[in-house]
Amino acid sequence: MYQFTGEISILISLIISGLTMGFIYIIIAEGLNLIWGVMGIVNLAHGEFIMLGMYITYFVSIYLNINPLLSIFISFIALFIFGIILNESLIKRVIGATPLMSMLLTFGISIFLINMGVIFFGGDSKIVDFASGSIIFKQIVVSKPRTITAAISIVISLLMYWFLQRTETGMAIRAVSIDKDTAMHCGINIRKINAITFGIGAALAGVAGSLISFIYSFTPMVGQTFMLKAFAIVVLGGMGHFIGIIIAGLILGVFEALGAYYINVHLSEAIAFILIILTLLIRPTGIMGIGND
Amino acid sequence: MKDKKVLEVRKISKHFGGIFANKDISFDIYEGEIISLIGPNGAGKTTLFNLINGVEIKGQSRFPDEGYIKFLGKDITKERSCNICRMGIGRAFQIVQLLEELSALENVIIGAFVNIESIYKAKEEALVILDFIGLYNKRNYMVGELTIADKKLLEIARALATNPKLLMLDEVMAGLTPVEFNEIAKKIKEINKTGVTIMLIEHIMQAVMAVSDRIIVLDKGAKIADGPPEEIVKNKKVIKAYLGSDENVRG
Amino acid sequence: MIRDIFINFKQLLWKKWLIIISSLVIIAVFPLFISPYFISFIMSIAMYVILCASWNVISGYAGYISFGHVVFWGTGAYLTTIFINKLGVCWPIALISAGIGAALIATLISFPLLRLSGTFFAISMLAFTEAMGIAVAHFGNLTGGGGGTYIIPLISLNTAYFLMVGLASFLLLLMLGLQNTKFIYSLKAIRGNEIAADTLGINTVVRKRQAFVFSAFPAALAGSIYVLNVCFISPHTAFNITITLRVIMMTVLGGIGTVLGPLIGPIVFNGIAELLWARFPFIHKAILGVMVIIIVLVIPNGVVPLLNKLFKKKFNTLKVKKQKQK
Repeated sequence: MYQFTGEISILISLIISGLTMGFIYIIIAEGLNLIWGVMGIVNLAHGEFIMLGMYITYFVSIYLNINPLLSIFISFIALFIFGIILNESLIKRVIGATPLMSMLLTFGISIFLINMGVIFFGGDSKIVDFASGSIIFKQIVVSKPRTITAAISIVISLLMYWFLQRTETGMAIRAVSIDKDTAMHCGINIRKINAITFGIGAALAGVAGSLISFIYSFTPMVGQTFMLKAFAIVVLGGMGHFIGIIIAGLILGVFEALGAYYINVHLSEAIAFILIILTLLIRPTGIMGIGND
Repeated sequence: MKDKKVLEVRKISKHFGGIFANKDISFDIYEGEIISLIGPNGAGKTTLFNLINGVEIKGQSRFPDEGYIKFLGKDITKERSCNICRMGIGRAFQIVQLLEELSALENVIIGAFVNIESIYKAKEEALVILDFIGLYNKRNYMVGELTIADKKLLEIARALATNPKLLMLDEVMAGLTPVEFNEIAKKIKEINKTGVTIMLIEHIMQAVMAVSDRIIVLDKGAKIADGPPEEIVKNKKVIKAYLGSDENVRG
Repeated sequence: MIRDIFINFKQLLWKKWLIIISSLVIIAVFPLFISPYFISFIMSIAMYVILCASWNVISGYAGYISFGHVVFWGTGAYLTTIFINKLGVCWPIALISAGIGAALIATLISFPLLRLSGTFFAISMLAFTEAMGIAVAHFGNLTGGGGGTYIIPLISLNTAYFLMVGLASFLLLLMLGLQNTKFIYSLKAIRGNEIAADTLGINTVVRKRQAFVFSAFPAALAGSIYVLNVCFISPHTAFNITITLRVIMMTVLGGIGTVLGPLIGPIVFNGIAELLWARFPFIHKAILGVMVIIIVLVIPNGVVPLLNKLFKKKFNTLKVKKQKQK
């Protein structure tokens, strides 16, 4: 029977750990990518949708004693509705304007949400008690919460894929992201699609937040970092490319895990940004992207 | 005048993803001529213009795959478009590429800056050109407020302001009424009289026949004819190229 | 072209000269009459005026919206601390060197980054800022690490005031003089249609770099003056995206691509922020968020163009400054 050496088993543990985060990153990036690709909106408030998902899970599991797994559904629905409300009240007014406008608008929303979060939730760190403990296989250690969240993330990504490829709404969304005018001439209601897209984007972020809350502690401010990482993934993967985002998300997750252990935690945070810059320099269309912007 | 070669194009080829946009094209242009470049849609005319001008085509490099281009004896094949402009080639685009959020006057002033440092002198120069082209009264209109005919005129004015020795006009008459394009044809002749060599891409045969000293015909990327208007009209290959496509030949 | 700047000034109406000179005199004698708190307040407005005016050059005129402007400010501050603490130079030299250092860094990164366009450029500047912050935190020996670094007080509050306000005034006047010059028009052409600008003989690569470095230098000087005054800087402050976003916001509020926008934006924004903080100390940040939203939806072009339309004449020179009474 082959015995893994200590070094290799650490490496494999790290890679698996990185992959689990990667799957969550993919969900976040998918949401951002949908909003960007379909509506042309650069959503700087995406991190706050994640944050809201975290707190929904927290309050639902503590005060309503609901199983944290169920809270994922609640996050999805709550953020979906919230996303649609935001779209109808604010976001749709900057569709078609310059990217700067959408960035500023979503930035304003972001500031508002963060600070409301601090007021209502308090600035202290919260944690969700979910599963704990690890699975050990031949000296490879994988934490249980991460395993479960990874599994759920994969399921969600598959559901998204099925939705976009096989359902009428999903295909309409893809049509709009490819060519808005043609889609309109085919009878697709752009405004409805925009609203749904923003809702789904927010919902995906919310779900990701719920999943992250099983792994890390959080404050109202943590959303920003995840949003920037999602940007890195979208850029690295090539805007619009589902597979590109999957690859990029996993790469980011793994590199971060390896970097945190072998170099140090701080520099591993920089990896997302280094990746952005490198990608934009070497291959601006991303790993799989077609030319745009 | 006939002797001085302004533009020398030799064996230019360019392909995109399997299609030859330009195939082995060679010709010369002499000082003071008005040359028209014609051919059915997709013949590669604008591509050729872009290669001469150094303008990037979406996602592709702006260099020809083969061949060279010499302007006034200097090799400009791989030269940057800003340098090509400084050397003396002015370009008007098929889809007008005006400077947004600026006025007509400002557009022309920026053209004049190629050879002038001071904005006050550039402004004087710009006003003269706007007057010549007939847009003086609309000089303070923002680009967005101009009619399509005015925009085309402004496109030409802007290129003129760079004081070119060779002016390249890409379908400046498309979408205009007969009155409008006759006006432009007149202006083109006036510009030519001041010593500027002109190369046109055009579909409107009346205008082409009226202004050109020589016509070069492209079809499917290759040059199929090169000569004075009377010859081209009778050229069997040219007629076949046009009748073989959906091209509507006027005149 | 420098001659053009002087000609532009000579052509200003005597009324505008009066406004400019009286404003300068007023802010010069301010420190005699107001409290140190208010001096600091004016100084922070002046700092944002510098940041907005410099950001306006690359982002407003040239159209290359940068989401990382704070990186030059922070770099200026850090270079100053390094020059003073590690190299022992006097503060004037540290100040100028910090500016030059930041300009050099700007030149360096302009090669890769200015090839990108639109949203990609914006995001890459953001990424660069974050990366700088992390790098600075990492190289603790040089920079004092994540906890930040101190310098001893070398200048008085009044000196800092004059430096900051002086720089702001100089920059605004410079932009005023540059309005009618080849430099600014080249940038506007790049913003208007970069491909066309190229075919019009403008060397867009060089011009963009000039604008970019031009925008980095004053920002770094502002950061330098800041750290000379406050005597402390940390990576969290120096490379904070909130500063960048405030700069963008204030410039947009004032009027992006105008001369007065970078002046009015900071005054109005800081004035309102100050009022909000006084009245609603707990939720003032959330209200700021709402303010941003309102600005974007209601006056996306900014105050100056709005006033232009209202008064129906080109206001691209100074108008009467409204004094903020405390």
